[in-house]
Parts: sequence; C-alpha cells; structure tokens
Amino acid sequence: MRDPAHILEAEGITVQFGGVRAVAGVSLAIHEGSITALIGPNGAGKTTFFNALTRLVQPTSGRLRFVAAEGEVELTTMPPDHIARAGIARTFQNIRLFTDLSVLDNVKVGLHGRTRGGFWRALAGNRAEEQRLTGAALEYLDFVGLAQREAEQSDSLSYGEQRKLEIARALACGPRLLLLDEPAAGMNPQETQALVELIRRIRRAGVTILLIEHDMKLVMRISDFVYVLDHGELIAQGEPALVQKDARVIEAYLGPQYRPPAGEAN
Amino acid sequence: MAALLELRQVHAGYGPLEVLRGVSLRVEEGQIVTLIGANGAGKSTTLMTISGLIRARSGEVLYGGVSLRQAAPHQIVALGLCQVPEGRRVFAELTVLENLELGAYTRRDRAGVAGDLEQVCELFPRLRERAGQKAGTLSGGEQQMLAIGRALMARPRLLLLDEPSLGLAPVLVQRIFAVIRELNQRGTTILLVEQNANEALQIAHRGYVMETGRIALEDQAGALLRNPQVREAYLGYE
Repeated sequence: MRDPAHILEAEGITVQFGGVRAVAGVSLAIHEGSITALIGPNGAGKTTFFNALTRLVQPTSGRLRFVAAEGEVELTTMPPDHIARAGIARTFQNIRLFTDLSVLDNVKVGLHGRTRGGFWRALAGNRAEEQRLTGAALEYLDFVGLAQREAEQSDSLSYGEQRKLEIARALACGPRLLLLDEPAAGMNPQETQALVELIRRIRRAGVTILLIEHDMKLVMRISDFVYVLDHGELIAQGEPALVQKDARVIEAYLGPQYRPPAGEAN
Repeated sequence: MAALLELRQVHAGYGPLEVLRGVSLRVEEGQIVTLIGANGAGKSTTLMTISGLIRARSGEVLYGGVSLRQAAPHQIVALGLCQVPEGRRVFAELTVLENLELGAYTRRDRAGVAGDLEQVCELFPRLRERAGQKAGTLSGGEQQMLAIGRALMARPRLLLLDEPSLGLAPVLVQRIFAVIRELNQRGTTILLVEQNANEALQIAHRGYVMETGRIALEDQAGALLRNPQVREAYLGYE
C-alpha cells in the first residue's frame, strides 16, 4: 500500500469488452473504515468496476491491492472464488437471490465460506453446526430488520426488502470491504433513511463501504468521499459537497436542473 | 362516465398470503394517476393483478367498463394495456432491437411500428447506439430505458409503469418524468407506481396512497403534495 490508511488501492484498472473500454485506466483508493461513493451516468462503468473488484470480470490491465485479514493481497491474480474469503462481499444492482430458498437459507449460503466442513456437510446433518449456522443467520437478519420474515420464500419479499436480504447475505460472508450496488433503488425516502442508519451501523461494526448510488440525498448524507465515473474514466473526486458543485459532474450526471439537497452533519 | 380502468374491492395475493385486501381505484382516460406507498404495501401486486399476471380472488378489474376476469395476459396487452415491470426483465440474450420489436408483437400495422421505433430511439438515443448489442450487456439504467421503450412499442392506451426511475442517474430521472408527461400529452393514460413520490405527484392528476394492501388515502395530486401526513411519510426526510 502506498498509504497504510488505505484498505484498497486500484491502479490503472481497465476493462475491455471487445472494442468497448467499459473502465479506462481508473486509479482510486479507499480509506479503511470510510464510506466511499462511486457515482456517474448510466453506462459509465460503475458496476463493471465492482465486477472487476470481485473478479466477475478479469481486468484487462491494472493492479488491485487489498488489505485482507492476513495482510496485503493482489486481487487481479487471485482465483475469483477466493475474493469473498479475502474479505470482499457485495450486493447486486439486479437483485440476485436464491428465489426458491427461504429468507433464512439465503443468509446461510453467505455463511458457508466461513463454516468448518463446508455448507453442504452442514446441510447433510451435522446438527450442532446447523444450529450454530441458523443462529448466526438469524442475527444477520435481525441486523437488517428481516428476522420476522425468516421462513418466507425470498421472492415473496418486496423489492426493497430483497435489497436488505442481499445486504444480510453479504454481511454473513464476514467482509472487511462491502460493495453495495444501488442499495436504495426501489426504496421511498423513509425507507432510504432507515437504510442510511443501517449503512452507518455496518460501518460502526468495522466494515469499510464502497457504494454505487443514484439517490444524491443518500450519497451526500453518508459518504466521506466521492468518485465520479463517466465513459469509464474518473472525471472528478472529492468530498461530496465539492463534487456536487463540479461543472463536469453537473453536466454529465446531475443535470442542469439539479439543486443540491440541504447539507446535514453526519 | 365509465373510467378507463376501475378496480372494485380487489383481493389478491400469493399462496396463503393475501396482499391486496379490497383495493378500489379509478383511472380516467387521459390522466396520469400515481400509486404511492411503502415497500410491501401492494403496489406492484396491484399492477400485476391489472395485467392478469396474478388473478383477483374477488372483486373486479374493469377496463373500459368490461371485466378482465376472463382475459389472459396476452389478450390484455392486445387490448392496449401494457406494463413495464419493476427491475427491467428484458430478454438478455436478444438484441436491443429484438427486444423493442417484441414489444410490438401483437401489432399488425408495420408502418406504425416503424414510426414508433423511431420515436423510442429519439426518446432514448442510447438504445439506437446499442441496437445490435445483446440486452444483457447493457448497464442497469440502459436496461430500464429498454424496458420502457419495449412497452411503448405496443402503443398502449393505458401504460402501467412500475418504478420507471429505478436505477437511473439524476439527469435521466428528470428526463424520464418529462417523457411520461409527454406521452400523456400525446394521449396515453398512465398508472404510475413510484418511490420518487414527490416527482410522481408533480406530474400526476390524481394520487392514491397504499398501506398494507388497502388504499389509505386518495385525492388530487396537488392536494396530496400539500397534505402534511403524506409529506411526512412519503415525500422526504429534510
């Protein structure tokens, strides 16, 4: 790490799909314990950057240094299935739950990388382990406010509730860095406010957060630092109040009619 | 006069779960009507019941005064009633153009279809740029544009929109509400479900507030915007 305060440093990350450069030489750093936002127009490359971090796509070039529990690791050469174990978990913009499983079982899937003997052995009948898993999964559900719904099939939850279930499943992986892809999509202002509280509680529990979000009230309220992508390139970075006054950001992303939401202390 | 769409005491749900517990609402021809409420209140279920994707257990869904009880979802689309589902649901393996053409599947007026395709591409230039690309390779926001464009290709008389602003950048959210207003001015009646209640009520004629499967409140949109209860619960946290 260039700076010991960083948990992640991306250097010159490029992701090329055929002739399209979805991410073009992005360098950024995330402070450990911070809440950092990644914003930008639709199609700017935000989700592709998340996919590069979690190795759902292989970056064409660049470096991704991450501070795992056991020390510094390079993500670009790590097998994709080791990413969660290294301490990075995520949610998805187009929700990806196991719709045939119950709410509780979706969270248990998140726990499997951390169990002794593995998830499948636990399912096969190790009762003590099974009870421990259930207890742990219920705690995560309780943390996001879904404990009452544990027995329901996950696709019976509303869209906003499914987003919270994805967060619970991601937390069950025990991440050091949590990536949230549009967590407030499909939530009304009151629910978004509850989400702000939830994200702050996650940070207080010691998890660093990087989020993609279009709800600018949410971004302004909780982020310590903001990066702005457009056409795969970083066009601005800084504290939220500064970024929302940036002429390029207003032109590409916020729109000329944008009025900054009233400021509020954290 | 009969409303273009009327729900009378509709009950509906999934398996043992009753989600709609007697929903009644009216959408007059030419209007924008918005349905707001918390997550899980039953807004999407209301739209799916209107589209025939789930069946009302009791009560009536009337379209142009005629019951939709016997109509299959594809017949309902052919009647000019078209839904844009929440969360895109585009055909990922088909191209952008093929997705748009499928929207016009029930139509036989080829010249009209070509004209509408041109209009959709004017509304969303990004879709023209990506016409030959598989829909699954679009970004989330681009898929949202495609889902709306696909519904417009059916040239609906009544358009049901479930969270059209979902996943769109602020500049596009402003644009999408302008597009909805424009569609309405060209004669399309719109039933709009939105979490962005403030924006929705600003372009709507009437609004309904849903709570736990029932209509808790209905009024002119302007009155709902000024209603202190609605302001506190749904319009923001400043």
